[in-house]
Amino acid sequence: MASTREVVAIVRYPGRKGYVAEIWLRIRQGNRTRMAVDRVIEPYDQPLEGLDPKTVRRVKERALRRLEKRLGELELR
Amino acid sequence: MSTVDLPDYTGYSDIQNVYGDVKIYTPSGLWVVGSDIITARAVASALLPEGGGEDLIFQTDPSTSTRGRIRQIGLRLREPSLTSYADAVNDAVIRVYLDDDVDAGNPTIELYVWDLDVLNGGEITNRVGRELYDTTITVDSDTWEVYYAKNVSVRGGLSFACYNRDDGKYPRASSWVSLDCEWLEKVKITLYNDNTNPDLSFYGYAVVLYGLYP
Repeated sequence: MASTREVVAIVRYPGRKGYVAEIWLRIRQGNRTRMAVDRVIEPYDQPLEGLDPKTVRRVKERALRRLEKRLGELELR
Repeated sequence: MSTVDLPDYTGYSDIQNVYGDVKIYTPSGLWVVGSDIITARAVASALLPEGGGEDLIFQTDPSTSTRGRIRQIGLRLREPSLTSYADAVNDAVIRVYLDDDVDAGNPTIELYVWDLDVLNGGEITNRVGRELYDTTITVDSDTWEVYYAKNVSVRGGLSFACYNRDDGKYPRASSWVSLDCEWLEKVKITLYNDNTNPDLSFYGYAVVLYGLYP
């Protein structure tokens, strides 16, 4: 039976090793619905341990920009 | 796994295709067996907010309206350096922004780690006042008092803390809270550093258990 996938939410957060986007999908199959989550991780370009707050912020911002680019390429909406 | 369309005891006719088992009590006092209609995930964030700064723990995309619930937040904080650090109990603030408050920039819920200790009866901060520590640890030339909570509330609390009496600050703290608050469109959770000195920070990890409704 054919199913449809609908993006219901995209959650972003700075994970331990990279910036993460979780894409929540509502999958409909006939009269049944279930949720699924796809996870996209963009690794930091250097470990966060031992860095000062400003550098950590810049590392996270760079990872977030790369993540947004990847999400844009997925054409989720 | 089988699915069940529930009778409309609740007046909410969209409850269907649900999974797992929970009891839903209706206003009449009847209960129906349905499922936990929330799908839970946990996120772990690396945090290092400078004094007066805020670090993102978790955020939904504001352009995609979604409904869900924050269940629990766990927070592990430690000093980024032995000589310069913000107070992990008195400066660390969990901020939760719900719906319109996300755009307005007004935290809907603000909880200091100190608050989480008081949620647990203020056990650790009360004992710190009289040096009723469990043990001590020497780090470099500093001696820290180590406190373990003897009892932790089921809703959360400060379960562990190190106190540096010479500095009058907490270099380390472990805490958690069950919020069970719901958002209707969007949500953001941050860790705020309430220290006035931008050079003082704490290094932390947070885990958020949350869920979305199908």
